[in-house]
Amino acid sequence: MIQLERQSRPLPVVSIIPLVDVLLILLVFFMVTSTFLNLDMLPMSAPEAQGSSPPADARTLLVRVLPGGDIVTAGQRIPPDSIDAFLQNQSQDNTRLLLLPSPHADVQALVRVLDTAARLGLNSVSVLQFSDVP
Amino acid sequence: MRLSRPIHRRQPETIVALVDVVFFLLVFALLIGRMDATAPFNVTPPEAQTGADLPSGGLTVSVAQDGRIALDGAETTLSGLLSASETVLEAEPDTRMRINADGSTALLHVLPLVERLKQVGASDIVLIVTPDAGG
Repeated sequence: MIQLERQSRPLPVVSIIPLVDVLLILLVFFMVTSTFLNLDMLPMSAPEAQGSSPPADARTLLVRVLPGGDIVTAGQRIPPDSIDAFLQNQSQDNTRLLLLPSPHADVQALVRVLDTAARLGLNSVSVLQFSDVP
Repeated sequence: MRLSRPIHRRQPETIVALVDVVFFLLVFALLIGRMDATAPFNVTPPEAQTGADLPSGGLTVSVAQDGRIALDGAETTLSGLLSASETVLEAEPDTRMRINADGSTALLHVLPLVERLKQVGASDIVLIVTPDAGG
């Protein structure tokens, strides 16, 4: 009796070059479409430790922030590009800054004043807002 | 007697290492892409010079110019945002709330929202800004 043996077929070689091509295309796609933004943050809630009452000799400066970005304090209207110099003249180390922004002022206008206050070293800054009438 | 120089066969170049590197780069790009403060609408944060570095983590609340809000990239309503935030804050009270508001958004869409988030237990609320180009 003749025994026939099936010849073992060599395993096919799997080419991974197309895989590399696909991966490279995906990589380039994500690198091109991704936007890498450099983001920072400003605190909007005061830490509890700073929630204590301000010092007795603190000087309070009430500042209104208007829709156009101007600020008004003590009846004086200050344009946005003069806020830095004005607050530098008006503020001292113990100045307490109370901000009362208009509801129609934009976020950038408020951030501009907060940013200026932080650069001048004013630690006590509060943002006030009108509460809803029940 | 003739001696023949042995034939040097070129070693087959292995590209397995290349595949590994490319795959790692792909996963890296995918992960970094998700770490961005995503929003379903166009949001351009305000500019500031004194912002601190923004660490990852927390919930991102995006506010569009017209007042639409989104939580972690999915548009939602105010009540939906507050209930979802409250659930997360009950489990992890120290969760950071990141307000990603457009610089031209009116404060009437942002400040009351911050107040409502405080009411549901948020104690760490930050406003996302971008470094001022002039600073």
